[in-house]
Amino acid sequence: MAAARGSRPDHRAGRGRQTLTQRFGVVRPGGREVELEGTGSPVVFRGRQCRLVRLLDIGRELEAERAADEWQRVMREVLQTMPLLTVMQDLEGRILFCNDHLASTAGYTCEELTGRIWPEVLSVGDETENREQARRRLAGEMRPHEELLLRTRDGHHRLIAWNTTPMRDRRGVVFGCTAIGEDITERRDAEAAAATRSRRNAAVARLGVAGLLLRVDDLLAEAMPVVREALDVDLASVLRMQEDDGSLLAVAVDGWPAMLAGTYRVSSEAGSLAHRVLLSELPVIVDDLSRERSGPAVQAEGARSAMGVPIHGSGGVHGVLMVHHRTHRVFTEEEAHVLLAVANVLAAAIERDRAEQRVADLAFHDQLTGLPNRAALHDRLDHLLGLAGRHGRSAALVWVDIDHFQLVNDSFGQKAGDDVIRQVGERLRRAAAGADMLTRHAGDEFLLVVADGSDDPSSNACRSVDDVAQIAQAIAARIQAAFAEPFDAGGAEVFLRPCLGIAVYPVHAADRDGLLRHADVAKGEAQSGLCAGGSAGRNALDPLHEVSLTARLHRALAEGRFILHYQPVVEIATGRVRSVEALVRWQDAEHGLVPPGDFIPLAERTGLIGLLTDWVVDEACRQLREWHDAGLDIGVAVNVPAILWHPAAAERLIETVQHRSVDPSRVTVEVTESTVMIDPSVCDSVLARLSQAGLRLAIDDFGTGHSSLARLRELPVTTIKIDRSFVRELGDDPAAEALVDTIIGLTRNLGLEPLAEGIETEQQRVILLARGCRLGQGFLFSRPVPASRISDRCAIRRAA
Amino acid sequence: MERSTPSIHDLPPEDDPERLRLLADGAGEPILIHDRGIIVDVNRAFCELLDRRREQLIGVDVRGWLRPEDRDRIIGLAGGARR
Repeated sequence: MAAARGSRPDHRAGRGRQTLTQRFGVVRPGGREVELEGTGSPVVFRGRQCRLVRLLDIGRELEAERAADEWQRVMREVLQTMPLLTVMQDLEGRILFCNDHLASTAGYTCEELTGRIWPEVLSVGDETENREQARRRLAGEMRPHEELLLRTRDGHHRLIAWNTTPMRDRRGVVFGCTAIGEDITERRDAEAAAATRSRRNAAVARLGVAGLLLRVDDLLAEAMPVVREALDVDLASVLRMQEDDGSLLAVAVDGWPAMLAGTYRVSSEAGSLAHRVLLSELPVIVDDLSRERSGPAVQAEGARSAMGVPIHGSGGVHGVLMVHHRTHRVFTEEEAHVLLAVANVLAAAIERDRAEQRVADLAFHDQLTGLPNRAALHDRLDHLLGLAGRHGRSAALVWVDIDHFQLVNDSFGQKAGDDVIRQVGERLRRAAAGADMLTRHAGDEFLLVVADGSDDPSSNACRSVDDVAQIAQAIAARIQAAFAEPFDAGGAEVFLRPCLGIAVYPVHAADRDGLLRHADVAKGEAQSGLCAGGSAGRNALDPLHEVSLTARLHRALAEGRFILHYQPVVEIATGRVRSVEALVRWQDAEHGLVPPGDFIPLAERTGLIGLLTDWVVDEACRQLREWHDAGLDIGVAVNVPAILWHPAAAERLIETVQHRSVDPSRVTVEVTESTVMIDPSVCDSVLARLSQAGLRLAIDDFGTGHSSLARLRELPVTTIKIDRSFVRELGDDPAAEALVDTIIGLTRNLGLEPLAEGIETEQQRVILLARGCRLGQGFLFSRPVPASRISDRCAIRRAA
Repeated sequence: MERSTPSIHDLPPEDDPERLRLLADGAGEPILIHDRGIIVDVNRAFCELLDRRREQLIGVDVRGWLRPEDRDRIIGLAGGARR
């Protein structure tokens, strides 16, 4: 052995003595390779220096190792490419591994994050608390699923849904955790937006339903909190446009002081945000109100941001829906649309309400005057008569229509006519104090209802039938007075006369239709008596001429453009002036002297004749006083038209005579034959009253009417004036001569004084004188002349 | 009593070839003894590794079984090949 050992060269022995381990492959039969690890040690075998090699099959181990490497590579790749955030942390929160997705979400690179402490870098909020939470999470005290905010490098927050798994070493000790997270920021935002949208849509929809059920005011009030909640704003309000001045009035508020509703007004000149909305008819959004001209309420509430939208319907803009917020806020387009949707609901409700009101108005109101109409009148009357019938109360109806109103329409056109009707409505409204209701019945017909107050809870005193009738009379009188001033027909002045009829329940009728009929008839009677103007009748005047003439007539009276001319009544035998007949003349500035035939009938139709006659009587009496004072011994005669042949006019006349201190026996009132014969009941009392006052009475135009001798005898008349038509024929027509002879004879037989009118020729004078007529007037003696000429003439005669 | 428990003296002597063979074959890992690459002895595990009987392997150059790229490196380290 030693020899053998010695026989080995040292250079080989040096290596041969080493124990070596190395790896190699062996090719097995069949070609399969086996990976082996051989550990060779020197041994002496049978005297020879050999090596004993122990082999270890390492093939499987290698394979596992390679697989592990490969697995790790794949896993890293998967983690990197996975669209999830992945992080491994130790118990300190130190980031052991993170993927690119996590890093880039947070705004870092993996290299920057690896080794950093998570709570220091990526958590939102208090660091100490974060660390504590992180510790608990890592200690397995946390929920495996949770949503946490991630703070990015530029300070934004992302919401991440984490799924955390603890990591354990081989002994099962937790040394950290793996967390897989998903960035749900967008999804959560979208969900929140969708939820908000759906919440808002639901709110608008609920409001829409409410709009069908609620009254507008209630809906507006209801809408305010809905808007506040849907848009999460501090203040909401609705401003309604006022039709009279275009200002905006707060009608519903929420968040604002409640007392602003119905009182807070933004004038149309304010140039406010609300008015910008109104003018542009578009939503207006203001982020910073401090740069705006804001009203006191906005300032008081400290509103910072605002948005307003028009409440816009098919009928135009009705107002503005506003929201204000106390902190700075940028309202989005979507929020503007929500507000617009609410505004649309409000607009629809407002328009529906207006339509309903309009239908009600149409049904019960006259569109022209805004007064209640016939339907409303019937409704009211039925109600009142129902009450009155049950409780034995009363009511009255005053029927007003306008004499010859058609003339206004014909002269000035329908539009001016409508305008006059509106003015009439206005005047009636003022005159209607005490009336329960003023209505326009139709055309130029207006009706007033007077109630006894039994259904008025504010008055405990019920009126008697007499009270009601008196109130109706008083209203009628005020209405008469209300027509004294002219109306404006397209710039022209028009004088109108009302015709009135009164009916009292239950005196005149027992039901509504009966009451209406009675008032109509009463008005008709009044019309034939008062409106028609007796014999003045209807002149075929051009309507336009007539109406403008009426206006001029009125002005003339006001401006004193009427004068009296006097025609002497003389003793036919001597020509001595016994008295004069006062005849009115109109000196028109434009047209000169207007003949009485042109304006007297018109004055009678328009009711001006009353004023005119008052003036004539007064002026005649004044003149008579003057003559008497001057020593002239004459009387004066005045004409009183049939239309004024009523007690009130008679009283006025007597008053005037007394007021002017003239001897009533020197004043003769002339009245036409037809007047005296028409209405004995009225006529007799008037004649009696005048006669009793000492006035002389003459029947004018005698022979033209159908006088009853019996009546003539009863009347307190002093003079009969023979109509000029008979006088004219004298000398030509024997029949006329016979007639005049008869009249004179009759007159004398009755103890009355005959007076011949229209004597123009000497022949007529002679015949009349021969027949025993002592007094006469006519061009043969004198035309009607101014007062001064009468004085002259009397003076001449006296001098002569 | 003492007879019932075999003592070390009952075992065959340490250099008993049969005993050594049993020990070598009992080892699970392949073992070979080579003299400069030439196999002089192997155990059963080695036989199974190369799917050969012992008689077929003794005297054979072990390099013949090595993967060609490993051959030179391994022989060098193994104490030099026969030249």
